[in-house]
Amino acid sequence: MANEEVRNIVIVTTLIFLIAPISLILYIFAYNRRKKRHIEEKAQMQLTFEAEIAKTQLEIQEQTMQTIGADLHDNIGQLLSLTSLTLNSIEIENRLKSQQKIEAAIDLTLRSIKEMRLLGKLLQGDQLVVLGLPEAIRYQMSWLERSGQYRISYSQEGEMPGLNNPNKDLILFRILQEILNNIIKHARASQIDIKLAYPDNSLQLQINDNGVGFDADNLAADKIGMGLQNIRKRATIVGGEISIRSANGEGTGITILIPYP
Amino acid sequence: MYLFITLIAECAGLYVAKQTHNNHWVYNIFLLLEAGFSNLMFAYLFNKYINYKPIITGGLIVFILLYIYELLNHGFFRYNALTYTVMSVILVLYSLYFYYLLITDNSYINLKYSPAFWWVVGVLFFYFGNTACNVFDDKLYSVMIFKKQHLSYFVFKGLNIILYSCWIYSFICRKWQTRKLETLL
Repeated sequence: MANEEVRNIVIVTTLIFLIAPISLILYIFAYNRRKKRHIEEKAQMQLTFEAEIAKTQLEIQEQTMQTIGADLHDNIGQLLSLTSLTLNSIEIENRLKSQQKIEAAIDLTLRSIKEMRLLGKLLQGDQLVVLGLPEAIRYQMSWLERSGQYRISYSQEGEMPGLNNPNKDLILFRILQEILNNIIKHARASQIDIKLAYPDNSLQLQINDNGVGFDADNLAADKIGMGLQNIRKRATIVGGEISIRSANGEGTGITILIPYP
Repeated sequence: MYLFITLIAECAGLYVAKQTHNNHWVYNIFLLLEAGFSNLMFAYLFNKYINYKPIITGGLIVFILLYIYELLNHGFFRYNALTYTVMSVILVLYSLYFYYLLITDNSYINLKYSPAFWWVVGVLFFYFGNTACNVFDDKLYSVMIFKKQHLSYFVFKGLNIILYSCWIYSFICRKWQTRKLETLL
């Protein structure tokens, strides 16, 4: 009987001492599988992020080229045509009138040169992001300002972090371009306010306009448009949040907050 | 090499037991080799993740002190059972710590083909079971399965089969790894 009892105790103990390491090994296998999945997901996210960065770079270049094309056609092209016309209409015999026309042609040429210089700077726009977001925003603003259609204010709050994040700068710059495009195309605004702030370990970009606005709360999903969808998607990719405040006739305010750097 | 030494120790143990009926001194010598080999292996395994020296040295100091204490206490011709039990507990703790390091490490390794993982599985099962057997040694010894064979004999046989099966698989994995590396080079 005692022998039987001891045997039972031994069997139970053996089972316990076998089950404990087996459970541990199974747990490690399960944990390892989860770790593998996590690593794969992380790699996939990194790939998506890199693809998005490449796409953003392309879009910035494309936008710059479009602006340059339009400007060459509408502005510099017109100035040079006018210069050519003015020079063609000079009558050497009429000295006084010729003098006036030459001065007008010189003035037109100087304006063309100024425009060309600005265009040259814009051409470097996508590379400007490398110098930091504030610098890139300033160039974008000066370009928009010269059209004379908008009053633009820019302010910066807080200390810029010592280290910047070029990828996040690039994404934010593209978001800003997209928002400014929307303002130009749809808002019919006259005032644009841009504010860049660096609260604790984050970056906040605020863009307000006094345009026609839209009903942000009741905007149907199919009417959100690619622009807004892209803005949201990009903000999410860099782990940020975006809030849009707008109402019909009351302008629009967009705030983007992302962890930074 | 270690397995070869183990085989020699087992043969010597059997031979001495037949001749003199006391083979404890053979296993006392083998205990030193067993502890040396296991600690060396764990030092190698820990080296990938941490500075192994404080842990391994600490374990070895405890082992040596107990070994000397037992020798002084009952001489060379009685087995150092306490030292063996404590060594088993230390090796189980090393195994658990190795698994902790393995799962907290950022890199992924396929455990099915990991020699280190299977070597530690063998150690964990064997020394965990051994600890239990050492604790219940008296009771196990009192149970006879056949006329001349104790229950502990079968338990130790089972543990040995688990240990050496895991180690054999571990060595096979190591071979696969080496072959893979060779083809890559």
